[in-house]
Amino acid sequence: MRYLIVGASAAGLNAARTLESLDPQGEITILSAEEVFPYSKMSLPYLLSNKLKKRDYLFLPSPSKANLMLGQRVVDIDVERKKVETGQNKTFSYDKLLITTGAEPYVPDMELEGSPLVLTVRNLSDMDKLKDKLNKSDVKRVILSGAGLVNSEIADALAELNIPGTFVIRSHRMLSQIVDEEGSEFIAERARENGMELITGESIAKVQEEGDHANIFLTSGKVIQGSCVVVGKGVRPSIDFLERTPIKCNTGILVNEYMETSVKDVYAAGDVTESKDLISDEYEMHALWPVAMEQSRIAATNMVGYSWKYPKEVSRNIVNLFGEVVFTGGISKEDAYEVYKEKEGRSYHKILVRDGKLVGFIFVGSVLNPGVYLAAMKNQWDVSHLLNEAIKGALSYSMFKAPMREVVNI
Amino acid sequence: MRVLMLDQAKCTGCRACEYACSFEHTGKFNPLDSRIKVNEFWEDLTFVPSVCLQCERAYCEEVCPTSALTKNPETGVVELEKEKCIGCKQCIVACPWGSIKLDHTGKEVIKCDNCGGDPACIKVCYPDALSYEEVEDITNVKVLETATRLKEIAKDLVKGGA
Repeated sequence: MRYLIVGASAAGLNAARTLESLDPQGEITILSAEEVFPYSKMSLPYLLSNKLKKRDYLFLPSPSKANLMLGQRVVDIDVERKKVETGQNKTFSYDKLLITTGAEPYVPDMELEGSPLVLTVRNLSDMDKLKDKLNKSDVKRVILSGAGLVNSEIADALAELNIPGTFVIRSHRMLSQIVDEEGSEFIAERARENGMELITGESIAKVQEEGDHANIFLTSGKVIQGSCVVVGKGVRPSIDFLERTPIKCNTGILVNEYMETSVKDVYAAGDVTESKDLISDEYEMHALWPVAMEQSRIAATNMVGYSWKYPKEVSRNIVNLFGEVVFTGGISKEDAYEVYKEKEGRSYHKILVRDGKLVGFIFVGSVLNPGVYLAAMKNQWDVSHLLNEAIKGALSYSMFKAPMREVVNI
Repeated sequence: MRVLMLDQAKCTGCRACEYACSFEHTGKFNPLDSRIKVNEFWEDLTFVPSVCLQCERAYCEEVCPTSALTKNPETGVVELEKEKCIGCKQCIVACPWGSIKLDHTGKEVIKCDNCGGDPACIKVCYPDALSYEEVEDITNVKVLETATRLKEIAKDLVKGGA
């Protein structure tokens, strides 16, 4: 059996590892558009903050048998003849194909694109550029366009390095995709304490290079200075090369519960996909590292010939921001169903309960067993008798009755 | 290969294991730094110790972005290499049992390492709820335990029939 994997990040390599163990005779090829050995994109902010002690730790474990081809960007797929064509004029045949091309940062303001002072952080080269700008510029302050997860993590890394930052936020709050207004305020307070400035209700109109720094013109006419601009306005799945194929896409590639696309023998996993959400029961993007790992393992298992079902997914995030752990899941940015909130000092807890089951939560500050919260939500365990423990962040696995333990899915 | 065995029926809830674990790893007696946790259910007066299961295919290992967590094929222990850990906490979300967790500062990831082959917790467990056994021996113990239980059921059935 010839397996071809397009995209060599977390999902691609994990799939290769699974294929190697399940089908030792199989012929596995991985195509990577990047020239460098596959690395963990999730760790990039930690490279900036030096929490990643050696650059080598960034690189993913190399597959033992699979043939990894670097610098091969796929431009088209012929699903009839089962062939993949790359921009480097090479053709690869397959019996089973897996698409794990991930996602790319989205720069909504076209005029900002292309400026050498405007960066996104997705690839290792982006991070090197950012480090270079920080070293060379006479103004240290970094301008962060957007206050989503990526930029918040970058800000946290900057705070570690004692470099000030300025968030320019079109909406009026931080992390509006994963926390509610109150949660935003808790995090913004910590951000300000750590040398971050927040400018809300504004966007960047123009970036002008001046000597070793940038002048940034805001839509209100205000001008600020910084070493560079980091745009963090979310990501879009990398699916351009599928344009001429019949593979069904929405924002991302649509996959069924077996991680198969609308075309037979073509599978997809990770950030490039959209899959059913457990809470909303609708197709959603779950562009998360652990999801990529799980999806790729299941996709690979099914490519070998099994029929493993991928359970419906829930969104969740855990991030370290300015000394606090921020852990969210499910419906977290709004209030719905039964809402319980608790605020104490620097911590903010919220849980949302539907028919006695957990459907969302926010924990800014302490939570004892995040994994148990995720398991309770994914398996829809009854928590109606544990609400007090749940809101305190104190749920533990042994609180659940024995029969529930047998159906653990994470 | 030896594994930590828990016999929940024997646990008295004294929590000496938690203190021993913390002291072994940190030199301090802080249950928050213990890798083993005794759960207390006062309404039923039962105590359930829980500790890392050292999963065959560990969720924590799979999600670790820097390969700081790896399964040692010889000892079966999922080992945490501190030097490589960036503190991203993906592992603690991935573990559905809450077995890999944060220490009392809420910053560092800690997990059971069987104390490198000489677990401190079993030494202070006077009711023998905790033991460190060869996998092969456990199989025999389990066979015997199950057989004993079935024997009791069989005896009851015979009595019922008489």
